[in-house]
Formats: sequence, structure tokens, C-alpha cells
Amino acid sequence: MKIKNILHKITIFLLSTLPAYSNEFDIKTFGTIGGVYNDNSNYIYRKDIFQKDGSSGNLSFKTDTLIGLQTTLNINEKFSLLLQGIVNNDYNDEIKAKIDWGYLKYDSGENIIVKVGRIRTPYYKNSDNLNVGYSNLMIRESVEVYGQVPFSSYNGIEAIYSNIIDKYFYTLQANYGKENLTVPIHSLNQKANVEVNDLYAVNLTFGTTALQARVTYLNADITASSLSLDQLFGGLRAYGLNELADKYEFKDKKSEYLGFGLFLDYNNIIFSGECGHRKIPSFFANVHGYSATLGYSFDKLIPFATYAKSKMDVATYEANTGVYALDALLRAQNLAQSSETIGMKYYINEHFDIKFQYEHVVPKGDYGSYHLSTLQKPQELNVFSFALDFIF
Amino acid sequence: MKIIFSLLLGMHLLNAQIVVVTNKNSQLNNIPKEIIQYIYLAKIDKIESIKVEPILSDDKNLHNEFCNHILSKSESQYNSYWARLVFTGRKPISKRLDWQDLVKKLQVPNTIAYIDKNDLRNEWKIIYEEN
Repeated sequence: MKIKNILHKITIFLLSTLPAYSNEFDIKTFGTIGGVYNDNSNYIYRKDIFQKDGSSGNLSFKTDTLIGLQTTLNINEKFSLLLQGIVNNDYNDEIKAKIDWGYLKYDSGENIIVKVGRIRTPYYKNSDNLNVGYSNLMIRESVEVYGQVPFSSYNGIEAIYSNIIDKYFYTLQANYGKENLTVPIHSLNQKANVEVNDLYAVNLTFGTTALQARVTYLNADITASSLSLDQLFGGLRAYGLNELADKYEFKDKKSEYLGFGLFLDYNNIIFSGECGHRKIPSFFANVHGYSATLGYSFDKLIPFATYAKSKMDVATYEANTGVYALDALLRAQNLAQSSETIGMKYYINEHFDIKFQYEHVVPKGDYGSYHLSTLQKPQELNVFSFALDFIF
Repeated sequence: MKIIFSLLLGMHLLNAQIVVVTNKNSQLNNIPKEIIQYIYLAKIDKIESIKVEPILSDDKNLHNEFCNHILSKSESQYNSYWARLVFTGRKPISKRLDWQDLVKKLQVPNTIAYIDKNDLRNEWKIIYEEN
């Protein structure tokens, strides 16, 4: 049975059992109303590689604006059903509702939690709460780190164990599952069907309440296919270019992600540093990146500054395989860029906050940047953003 | 008059000493500050194999002082932290209780709460006190 059917059944079950469990049923909402202005009309500024539209010399509300709903049904002290859905601008530039995650949760009360269903993939510190603006400092996390992996949820199981040793806590998280999704390649106006199999991940977070470190490793067998990709690699093989096809075809490729993080929240000083390395031996080239944020909490006001950088392991824009179509595909993978951001978050109350930030983006190399452009030679972007976040 | 009232209130807050208490029948005794922090940050929910239920006060000043001095966070950061827990399915939002409900809730063993030390009752014991 497909996971969408399961989630559909969970939704119907949650709604049909509402009267019987009215005391245990809980609905919460969250959302962001956000505007972005990017002064360079040669680029479409976007939050991640899924978005098709964003700001391009105009004010756009598509990048960050979203509304979300979370329902919880507490079946008994240990079991609960949770579902979270969001409405936002999707990769077809249409406003759509989708179920982001939903699972059956078992909480042993012994510091062990097990989830079965559709689960967020734990690449980054804020993977789980990326859509909940109120819980984050910045309007959006640095794409140089958070934009590396093109899927955010999977279908499977997650187990979490937390405990303390002396005065230090640790959380060990293990994940297993699979995922099927469509990944847009906007720069080539194509879409790829992506199958993620045997996905497993481990994540260890440890430290104190002031200082925490985090390490994540993820491994999966991934295949990406589309009519044009199949034609390209089929054509290479037909012409006897098997070595080239083996090197770049994205078929059952053992893919890895390794991430580290260091976080400080001490005497009003806030520091957050994360770095990640995506290794996928295919045309979807290897990339690594890092981001560092420093802020200071003046009670309700937190000003901050961030520097982030991403770099391809091998510069894809220098691709010269002798096959024009393959070179074009490789060049489109260049995600190298750096960005400097300054901004502030102001807590209005326990339901609302407002944020402002300015970001200066410097794409590196031909066809570079996470932001969409047809330019060969890169240009800089100045991006101004504001957001009103809410939770109820 | 308002100024005098504000000064008196300010003096009261200056004199307030926050302590963390539980029912006298509870198995919990002296708890280090770090463990109190882990419980209120939902990093763990057991202390020495004892399941603990932390409760929050709806007294704004007391809650603010607790966040600042015990958790070493501003109240707004703590709100943000809870939003993260709630909207990732980790914990439900704990309702902030008024004094009467807090007193009632503390009848349950192994429930813990922060109070002004001046409000300590005979049926409670202190498990953490800032020196």
C-alpha cells in the first residue's frame, strides 16, 4: 500500500475519531507571511531548489509564505498519531496543500521514542522545524548547507533515545526507509523521478544546555530518471561510451551525506555553525558547504549575522566530456556561492514574531548559484526580506 | 501612587527567590541545576528512573525569572524552543497553571514546579535552590 494511501487513511481516522477523543485531540497552526526583494532581475531568488518562482527584481511573497496545520490524537499514554500539512507555493509555481509528515508515535516514557510513517529526514539541526518560522532565528536557513539534499521526508521508521551521562545529555537517532519523489531541474526545464531506497541515517547530538555538538551520517541507494536523462545515457551506451555513462548516470548510486554542527546558547550569546558534504557519484555532483551564525539576545530582540559558503568538489562548469548534452547537464549542477546575511528577530509575544534580514549573495563560477539564472558569468544579488511568523 | 506600587512590586521581585519544589511524598530529592534544565527543556523525562512531570507557572514575572536564572534563556527564547518541540511532534505545549491549579497538581508525586520560596508550603519539599 502506498504511503499516500496510508496518510489519507490516517487523516480520515483522525477526523472520524475526533468526537470520541475530543479531550485527546489537538489542532495547532503555524505559518509565515514573508516578502522578498532581490535587486538582480537576472536571477530568480528562491528558498531551495524545489521552488520555481521567487523574487527577480520585484517583491515576491512566494518564497517564504506558508500556512501549516498540525493535528495530534493521543490514543493513550504511550501511543499517538500526528500529522502535519502545509500550504505553500510548490515547484510548479502553484499554491498547493501537502502532507509534510505523519506518523504513529510510541513514547515509552523511558526516554525512547519510535515513529512509524512519513518522517522528516534528519540532515540538519532544523530539518524537523524548517517550516515553523517562529522556532527559527533566520527567515530561512542558509541554502549553502540546507539546500544540498533534494528531499526532506521519507517513509519508514525512526527511533530516538535520549539520556544523560553525569551532567551531559545525548540523543541518538536512527532512521530507515525509502522515498519516491519528483525533483525539478528548472534550469533545464525538466523533472526527474527520484527513487531513494535503503535509506538509513544515524544522528548523535550531545553536550550541555549551553553547548551542543551534532553529527549526522546518511546513506541511500538513489536513482534519478526522466525521458531526457534516459535518452542521454541510453545514447551514450549506444555509441559505446559506457565509461562516461557509468560515471554520470544517476542509477542505483550509493549516496552519502555527512554533516556536523556546533551550537552555543550562553549568556545571551547565540552561535550556530553547520557544515555538510553531499556525495553522489553521478551528474548530480558532490557539493560541500558550511554556514556560521552569531547573534546576541537583548531579551525580545536578537540581531544576528551569518556567513555561508558552498563549493562543488569538482567545478562542474569546466565539464568537457565531448558530449554537448552531458556538458549542459553537468554545468547546470553548479551550486557554488557564498552569502553574507545580517538581520534581526523580534518576539512580539508567545504567538507572533517579526524578522528582517539583508543578504548579499555571490555566485561562484559559470552558471553558479542556487538561484535560477540563464547567465553564464555570475552576478551578485542583494536580497531584502521580512517575515511575520505565528503559532497558535 | 503608581510609582510607589511599582517600587514595591520591584522590591518584591528583587526579594523573590525561585526554588524548584515537589510533593513531600515524592521520591525526588536534591536535583542538580543541569538536570532541572534538561527536564524543562524536554531533553529527558526521567530522573534516576523516576518519571517526572514539570509544570509551568502563569505568573509572568516568576516565569521570566525562572527562564533567565534557572534555564539561562530569555523567555522569548524559551517560547521559541517550545515551538520547536511542539511542531516537531516531540512534546505538547504545557499549559501554564495558575496558583490554585499548581497547588492541586503538586499533590501528584514526582510533579515539579518552580515557585517563589516565600510561597513554600508544608506539604512540599525543595529539590533545587539557587545559592
